[in-house]
Amino acid sequence: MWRAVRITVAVAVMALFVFGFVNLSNREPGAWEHLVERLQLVPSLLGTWRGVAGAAAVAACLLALTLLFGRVYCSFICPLGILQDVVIRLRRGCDKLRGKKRSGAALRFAQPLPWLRYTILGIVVLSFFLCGTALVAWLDPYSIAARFMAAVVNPLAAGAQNLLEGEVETQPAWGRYGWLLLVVAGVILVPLALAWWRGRLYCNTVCPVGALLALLSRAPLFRLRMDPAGCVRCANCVRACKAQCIDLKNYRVDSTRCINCYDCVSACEHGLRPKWTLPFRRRAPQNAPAAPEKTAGAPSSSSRRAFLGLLACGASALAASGCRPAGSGGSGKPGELGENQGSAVSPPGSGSVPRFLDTCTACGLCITACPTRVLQPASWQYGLRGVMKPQLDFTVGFCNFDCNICGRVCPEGAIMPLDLAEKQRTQIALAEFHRERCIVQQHYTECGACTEHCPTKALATEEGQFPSCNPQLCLACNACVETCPQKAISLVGDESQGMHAQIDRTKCVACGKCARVCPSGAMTLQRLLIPVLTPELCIGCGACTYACPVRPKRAMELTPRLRHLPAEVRREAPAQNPVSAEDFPF
Amino acid sequence: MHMKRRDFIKLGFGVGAAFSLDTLSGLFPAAVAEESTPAVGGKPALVAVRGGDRVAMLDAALAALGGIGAFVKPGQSVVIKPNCGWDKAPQMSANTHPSLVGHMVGLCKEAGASRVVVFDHTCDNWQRAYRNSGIQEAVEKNGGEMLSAADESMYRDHENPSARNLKKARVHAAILDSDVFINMPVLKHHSGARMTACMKNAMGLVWDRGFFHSHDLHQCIADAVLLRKPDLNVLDAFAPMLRNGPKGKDENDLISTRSLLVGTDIVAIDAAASKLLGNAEGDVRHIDLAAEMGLGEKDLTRVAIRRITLA
Repeated sequence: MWRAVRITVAVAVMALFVFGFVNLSNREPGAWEHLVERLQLVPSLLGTWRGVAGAAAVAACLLALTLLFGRVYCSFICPLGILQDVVIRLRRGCDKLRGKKRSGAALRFAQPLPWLRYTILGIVVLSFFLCGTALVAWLDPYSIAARFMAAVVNPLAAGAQNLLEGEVETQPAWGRYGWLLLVVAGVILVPLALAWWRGRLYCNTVCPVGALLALLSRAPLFRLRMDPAGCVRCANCVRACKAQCIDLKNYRVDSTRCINCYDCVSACEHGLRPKWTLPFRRRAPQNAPAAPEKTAGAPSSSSRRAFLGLLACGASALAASGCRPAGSGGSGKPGELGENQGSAVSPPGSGSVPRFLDTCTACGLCITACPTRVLQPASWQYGLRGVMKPQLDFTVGFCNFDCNICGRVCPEGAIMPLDLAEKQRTQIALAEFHRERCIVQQHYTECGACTEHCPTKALATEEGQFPSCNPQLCLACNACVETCPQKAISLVGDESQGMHAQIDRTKCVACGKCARVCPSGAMTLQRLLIPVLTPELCIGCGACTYACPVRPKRAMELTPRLRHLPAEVRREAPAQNPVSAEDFPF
Repeated sequence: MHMKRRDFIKLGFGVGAAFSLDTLSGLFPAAVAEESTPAVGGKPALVAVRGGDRVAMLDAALAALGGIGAFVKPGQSVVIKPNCGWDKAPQMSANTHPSLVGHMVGLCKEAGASRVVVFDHTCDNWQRAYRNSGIQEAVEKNGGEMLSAADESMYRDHENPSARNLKKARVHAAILDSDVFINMPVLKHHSGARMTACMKNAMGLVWDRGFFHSHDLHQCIADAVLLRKPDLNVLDAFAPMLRNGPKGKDENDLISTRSLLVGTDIVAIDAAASKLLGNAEGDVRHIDLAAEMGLGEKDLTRVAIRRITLA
C-alpha cells in the first residue's frame, strides 16, 4: 500500500513536471501549473532566502516531512529521484527478460559512505556562501532533471507537435539549448548511469539534497522497522532496496539512506513495516538476536559532527569577514559587481546580474516558458558562474512588453515576479543607436523597424533633412563645407573634371544647413524619418535590436544593466483629432 | 473561375445596379446621409462610413458594394488578412478589431465560402498576438480558421516581375491558394512608413520583412500590392492610433473617428485614410509610388466615393 501511494504520487509529480516544461501553445501559466517546481527543496530554500511567497512554508513542510517520515522527498517529489526509479525499473525488467538473477553488488547491503556525502554537502554549502549557486546549479537534483526537460524533452515535444499538426512554428534545429543540450544530457547521464549500476547511489553519495535530508532523517518518527521475531531472512527486502540500506545481519534499516520508496515493504511478508517509533531508539528490540554494538549501517556520527563543525567554522568565518553572497544586497556600485559578470542581460525581476547569478540554479523553466524565446541558456556570457543560466539574446527574440511570465514561473526568486506595470518600467539594458550604420543614413530610405517595435517610445522617429549634392550644379564654392557642423562635407574631384562637394553619410546629422547656404541649388534636401533615442525611457527589451535589419553589426545595440534601474514613464496628453470629427476630410 | 470573377470586380462593373441608392437607404433606416462623388452609375470604388459601430458600418459599406455575395461566391475559399501583429488588447487599436474580423468571417461563411482562413505574420509572438488581440476567438466562433504564419514552410516563393524592388518574395500559401483575398487592416500611425493601412498590411503576407526595410521600405510596400491585389479592402478606422504607432503606448494615442473605409481601390482607400490622420498629400510616399505604378487612384476627386453617415 505504501509503495502504491508512492508510485501514484511520483507519477502525478512527473506528469505535472513534464507538462510544466512543455508549453507549446504559449498559454499563460496558471497559478497551479508550476506547483511541482515550487515543491522542490533547493528552490524552496532559495525562494525562502529571496522572499518568494510560499517558499518558506514549502521548505518548512519538506523539512518537517523529513523529520516525521524520513526522505520522502527523494522518492515522491524529486524528479531526478523519480527518473532514477524509472531507470532502476528498466534495469530490473531487462534482467528479468534476460532471465538472470540480479547478482553482485547491487543486491546487497552496502556500507555507507557518509564522509563522502557530507563532505560534498559541506563544499556545496561553502561554495554557496562564496559564489552563490555556481556549484549548486550542477548538483541540485531538481535542476539537473529540469534542465533535461527544457533541453531535450521540450524540443522533442515540439518536434512531435510539428509532425502531428504540420509545421506550425519554426523550431531551432537543436531545440532551445543548441549544442548545450549535449552538456545537459551528459550531466543527467551520471545519476542515471549510477542508478542502472547500483540503484540510488547518486542520492546517497553525491547529491547534496540527499545528504542534507539524511542529516534530518537519522531517526524519523515514522520509520521502517524490521521484526526480528517474524523475519525469515529471505532477503527479499534487501533485493528490493534501491538504496542498499537494509542490513539484514543486524535487522536494521539505515534511515539516513532510506529514500522511502517502500519497495521493501511490498516485498516483505514478514513484518517489515514503517512504524511510529520514539526518536533515537537505537537498540534493536530485546527479543532480537544479539547484534554487534557498533552497527555498520548507522552513519558515522563523527563525520556528522565534523560536517557541522565545518559548517559552523565556515559560517563564522564568513560572518567575521563581513562577506555576504556577492550582490545579495546589491547596492550596485561598480566595485561590488565583480569581474566577468557584465556581458549578458539578465531577465526583468532578477534585480541585478550578481543577485541573479547567486540565486539561479539554471533549471530552465523560464527558458521554456518564454514566449518570444529571448531567454536563452548562456554559455560563457556571464562567466563560469552563469553557464546554462538564462540570458536575453536579442538576436533570437525580444522581451515581450506585456509579459512577465519568467518571474511568475521562477520557483527560486532568481527572477522575482513583477507585476506588469513594474516590469514595464524596469530597465534591464540600455539601447544604443549607431546612427552611422542606420539604413536611413546609409541609403536615404525610410525604415523604422526599430521604432515600430519600441513599446515605451524611448525610440521614436523624427524628421531629418538629408542632403544630396548634384555635381553638375555644384560650384565647389566651399560654403557647405564651412557650414557643416559635423565636418561631413568635403570637396572631391580634380581640376580637369571639376570639383564638387561630397557628403560623408556616416557623419551627417541631417540638419540641412548645407542646402540653406548653397548658392547654386546643387545641394538638395530629402525629408526622412530617422530614429531618436530617449535613454531614460528605455527598458532594454531589445525589440529594436531584434528588428534592426542592418547586418552584420546592427544599428541598434544593447548594453546590459548590471543592476536593473527604474526607467521613466511618460504619459502623453490625449491625442487631438487633426481633422474635423464631424465629416470626412476627403 | 476565380480569375474571371476577380477581373469582374477590378473593372467595377455595375452588375450590382439593382442595389440602387434609393433601395439602400430603405434597407438602412439608420443611415442619415449619403452622397457620392463623382456621379458614377456603377458601384463605388470606395465606401466611407462613419458614425456607427464597426459591425453596422461594415454591413452598410458592403450593402453599397453589392453585398458580400459580390465578392464571395458559394464554394470559394477565402483568406482574410487582418492586422494582428501585436500582443495588444482590442481597445488599443494596434490590431484590427476582432468584432470586424469575426463578422467578416461570418459573412463569408453565410455567402457559402468553403473555407475561411485568417492569419498574420506577427511581430510579437504569434500565439499571444492571435489570442490577446481577440481575433482568434472571434474567428473561431464564426466558423473560420486561424492559420499559423510562424513557420517558413507556410510560405512559397513567388515571382513578382512587375515590381521595382520586391521582385520576388516568400508569400504565405493561403494568399496564393485562396480564391478570395480580403485585406482587413487597421489604420495607424507608423514610425517608419508614416502610416499603416491597406498597402502596408501586405508586409504580413511575406516571410522576410527585413527585405522591405533594407530595400526602400516605401517602394517595397507599393510593390507588395502586386504580390496579390486584394479583392476587397476593409480598413478599420474607428479609433486610429495617431502617434507612437504601429504598436502604441496607451489609449491616449488614439483619436475617435468612428470610420470605416471599404473598397476595391487600395490606393484610393489609403489616400483617404491618410487624410483621416491629417497627413498632407505627398507625406506618405508609398501612396504616391503605388499611384505612379498604376495600382490605383490617389487623386480622390477622381474616385467614385460613397459617403455614408450612420446615426
